[in-house]
Amino acid sequence: MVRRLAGIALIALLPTWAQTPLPLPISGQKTVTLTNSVGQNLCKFRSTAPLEEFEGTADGITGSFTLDPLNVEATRGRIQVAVASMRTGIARRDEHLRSPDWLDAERYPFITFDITGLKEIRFTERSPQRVSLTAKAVGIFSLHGVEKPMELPISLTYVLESEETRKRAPGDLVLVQSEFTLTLRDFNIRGRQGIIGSRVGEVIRVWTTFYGSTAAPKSNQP
Amino acid sequence: MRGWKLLQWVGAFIAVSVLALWLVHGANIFTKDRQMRVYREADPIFGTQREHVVWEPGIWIGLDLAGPLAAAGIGAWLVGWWRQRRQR
Repeated sequence: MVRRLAGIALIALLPTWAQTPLPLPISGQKTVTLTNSVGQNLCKFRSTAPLEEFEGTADGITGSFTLDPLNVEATRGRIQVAVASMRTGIARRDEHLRSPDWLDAERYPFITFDITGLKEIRFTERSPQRVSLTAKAVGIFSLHGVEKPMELPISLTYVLESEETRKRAPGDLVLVQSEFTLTLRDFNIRGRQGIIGSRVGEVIRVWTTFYGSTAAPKSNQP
Repeated sequence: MRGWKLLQWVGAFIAVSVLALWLVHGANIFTKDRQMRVYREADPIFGTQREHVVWEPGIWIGLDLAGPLAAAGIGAWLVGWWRQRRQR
């Protein structure tokens, strides 16, 4: 009987245990909106193939996420990248990239990541003003009209508003960085015959840097 | 005779200079019209390095352009050499 009660209590307490508070003196949910006034929001990507290696960027980034200081796991939000903002250094290649053979920017103008939560949270820095953590962002990645559940490794730094931060932007400031790979086949991106695997890598490495503020204008939200 | 020698020299000069330029421009396969420049600075607020990326316009010659030009140079050199040899 005691064991059964202990089991029930354990199950009841599990969600509470899974809640990681942010070790900063803040209360209430915070909506972080991405803004270039804090820093340049950017996605960098690299394709490595036997015949060619190239790098590119995308800077048309909008998004926001809501952070609960009492339950970091419950972070939710959406980040989207405009396909039209992708650059690779060759105008003709950029046109191909947006064409129906590749990312089809007309039908699928945005690459999105809908964040449904964070897990495996580890604090890497704690100070009275700033907290850094690593985690896995769980969500749905949408590219080329294909939705795929993904867990992206992230590092997040949350800085409380101060004299110094106000010089850059009002509100608490947040930096989120991630590095991951995307397999083109997973998103039904075939390209022109024979190009993937020879001139375009089958797997694309992506680096993202997102800057946000809790007081950024709502127009930056998707 | 002198004309063919001149063609030989001009062809060699074109081939060597185009290939040298291609190497200096990063030995790319395709000609680039923009080059990514990354500027980094310390970011005391986040305790990291802040990157700022810009695409600078210009021409960075690739093998698609350098290859045919160098081939034309080598061709001119060969024609000059062959004609000179025949005239001797």
